[in-house]
Parts: sequence; C-alpha cells; structure tokens
Amino acid sequence: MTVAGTAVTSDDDGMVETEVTTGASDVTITLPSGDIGLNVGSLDPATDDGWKTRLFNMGFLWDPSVDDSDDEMIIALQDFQAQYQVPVSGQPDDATKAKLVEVYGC
Amino acid sequence: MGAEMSDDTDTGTSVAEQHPLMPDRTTLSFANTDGSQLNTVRIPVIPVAGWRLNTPGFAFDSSLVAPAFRDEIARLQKIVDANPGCPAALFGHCDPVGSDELNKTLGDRRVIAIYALFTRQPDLWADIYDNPAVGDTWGTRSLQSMLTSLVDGDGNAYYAGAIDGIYGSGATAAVKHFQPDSGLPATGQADATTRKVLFAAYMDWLCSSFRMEPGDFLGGTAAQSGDLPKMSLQGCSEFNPVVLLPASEMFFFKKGTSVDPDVWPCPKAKEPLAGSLRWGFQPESGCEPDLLFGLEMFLTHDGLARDDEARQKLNNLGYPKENDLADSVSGFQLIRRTPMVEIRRLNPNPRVKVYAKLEGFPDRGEKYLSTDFFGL
Repeated sequence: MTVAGTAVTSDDDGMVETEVTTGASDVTITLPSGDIGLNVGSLDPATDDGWKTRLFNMGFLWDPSVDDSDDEMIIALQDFQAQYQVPVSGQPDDATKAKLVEVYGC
Repeated sequence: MGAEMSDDTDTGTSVAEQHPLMPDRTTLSFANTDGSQLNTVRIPVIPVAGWRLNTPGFAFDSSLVAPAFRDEIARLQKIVDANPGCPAALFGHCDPVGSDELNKTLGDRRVIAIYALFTRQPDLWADIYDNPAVGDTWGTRSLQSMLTSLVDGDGNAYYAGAIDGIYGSGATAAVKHFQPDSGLPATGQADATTRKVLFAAYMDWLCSSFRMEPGDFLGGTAAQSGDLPKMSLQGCSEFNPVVLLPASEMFFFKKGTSVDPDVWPCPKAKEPLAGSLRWGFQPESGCEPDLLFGLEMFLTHDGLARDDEARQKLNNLGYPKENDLADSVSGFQLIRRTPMVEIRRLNPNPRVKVYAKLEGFPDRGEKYLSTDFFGL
C-alpha cells in the first residue's frame, strides 16, 4: 500500500505506522481494494460525536450516520465492548468512550 | 451489485445471497496527532455475497457430492457472475455431534470434494477415494451413483441397478459400457485410470460449464494444481471461528481483498488435528479448558429457526430447546451466563446473524477474536 504517495509495508501484526507532513489535511491511502482519503484534523473528541467515528475507523461500524438508537449502533458498541472487555451494554457510556480513546490511540 | 437471488427454503438444498452494498470507506476523519498518539484504521474484510450448500448436497456422513447438487449450479453461477474478481473462500462442515477427529476429517474431505469439483481436479477426488477415513468410504457405491447419473450417447444411464456397493455383473457391465465411450479399453474393471475419467465426467455432469480456477479463491494467487491453499478452503466448524450448520459454505469478498495467511483464523484443509486451534462450540460438560480458546461463535440464518434438522442438532448438543431464533439466542445467553454479542462487521447482511459468545480467560491474555483477521 501507499500512504501519501510513499510505499509502506505492514509488520508481522498487520500494522502500518507512518508519519505525514505537519499541516497536511488530505492524505490518501492506496490499497488493492481502493483508495481511502484521510481528512486530517476533522476528528471530534470522543466525548462529543467522535466516539462514533472511532468505531467506524476501526471497522466496528459500517455506517457512522446511523442514529444512536439504531440496531447497527447498538450492535457495534456491544461488539467493541465484548472485544475489549468493557461491560456489554450497547450504550456509549463513559467507560466505553475511554476505552475507545485508548484503543484508537487518541 | 443487486443480483436477485432466491432463498430456497422450500427445498433447503442451497441458498445464494447477495449482501447489501455497504457504504464505502472512501474518506475517514482523522485527528492531528504528535508522536505520542495514533489514529487507528482497520479495514474490515467485506463479504459481498455468500452461497450455502445444505446437507442434502452430500450423502450422510460422506464427502461424496450427491447428484442433487447439480440443481444448485445455476444459482451458484449467478452469484459468481454477479461478483467478478471477488475472491472466494470455501468452508466445509459436518454434523458437530461427532468427535473432533471425525468432524475435522469429514469437514476437510467435504470441502476438498467441493473445491476439486469447482476447479475440476479429479486427482483430489481420487485421493479421497483411495484413502477412506472416519467412515467416509466412497467405494463401489460412489461409482454406481456416478454411473447412474451419467448417460451414454442414446441417453441411457450406464447403470440402472441398485446402489448397493456390490461390484457384481451390473456394475461390471456399466463400467465396460462407459470405458469405450470415454476412450478407454473395455475391461469392466474400475481401475485407477477409469475412476479418474469417471470422476472427471461426473464433475462435468454436475457442473456443466460452471468452473472456477484456484486463482479465484482468497488463498489461490500462487496455487498449483493439487494444492489446498490456506484461506481458499478449510474444514470443520469447531476449527473455524464461525459455526455453520450447513454442509458447505462459500463467501465472496470484495474485489481486491487480500489477507495475510498467518492471521487467518482457520486451519488449512488436512492440517493435523494437534496443530489446529479449536474455537469452541461444545456443550458445557465436554469443554476442555486447554482447547477452549474463549470463543463460541454462532452463525445463524433466518432459515435456521425453521430448520428442524438444525434445531435438533443443537438440542442434541445440550442446548435449550427453542422455538425461534430470538429464543435460541436467549438460550445461548444462559450458557455460563456470558453475553451473546452480534457481530455485524463480519457479515453486513441483516438476514445473516453472527454471534460471538465471550468466554475467555482474560488473565491469560486471550481475547475472543483476532483483530488482525479484519485488517489488511
């Protein structure tokens, strides 16, 4: 894959870690399955609606625009909570948001 | 997308479904971070379609592909045509009541039989024939069944006798009739060469023009004839993270999907039992802590609730007798009093429900699902 035009390779855990230029706002990841654009600087805090975006970015949620009470959202929260051993409630409680920040990285 | 597939719950022989098109992850919101923080992106493996062959596709406790399978090909062809370039993965299963050895071996043999059929590799069928295992013996019955299905130039079946496993005068005459029609000397003996030609003819009869290549499968980029690549095909339920009651299942993933075989959770076909990671699905009394990895994961389909056979299997395993899917989920919740969690990201189709049951030994650092499985 490439990130911002630079070829990168994942490590043994399938992870890629790379840096982009300070001030960059639009970065493109190129994958065999298609390009993904990164809008840098647009992620809200997890205490606001940013918890949904973090769920989406980490693949737990297919559509970040669904309502909080939608089954999709509840299922995604339960899935995350079970995987990271937060009490499974299906609700975006404080413990869940804190774990999202920890797992997501910021 | 958008191929209309029928869910044939009347015959129950197979189901082909196009998954709903999920929103593309074309743009993600990221935070500005310094060296002490990260943004984490994980791209899910996206299934775009699925095909399921139910138990009638095989004889009981056998890997022999039954003649009834022929009726399913049109449905399968449709789903393949609708998803060009989407890599496929085959999963073989059997009744989970048997021992680990039986389940893994029969699951492997079933998925190899299907993979060989789709990729037209009669040598793989010959290997199954030559090496009976766990009661799965093709033998003369398989030859009689194939010769019953195949017809000569006049449209007459080569064999019209009983499928009794006796290589008597009727079977001998049928083979003697089949051989010259296939360019072989008419000896009446079903030797290795004759069997291989018969297998190839039966494969063509079952599939007509439908055919896949090893490269059409998820692990098949560099696969050679005779290979059984990891990710392309895998055997039984307990050794997959998803329990599937049907006999065989195939998923098609989004075009361009690639997965590192080292993080794929299922052992490859024919991988020894001792080296295979068991994912669970055992009644409480039968759990072996060293093997129970911490996951019990159940895939259900809305047809399952109406499937008496599947429900009976669950009952045989000691799970509560239930009348519908919702109650079945409630019943599973009671086992060890741990929650059932639906996982939509593994399969976005709302008609297919995937549940995980968190068991685990957190103090040993185990978690219920490798997140790497969903990453690229």
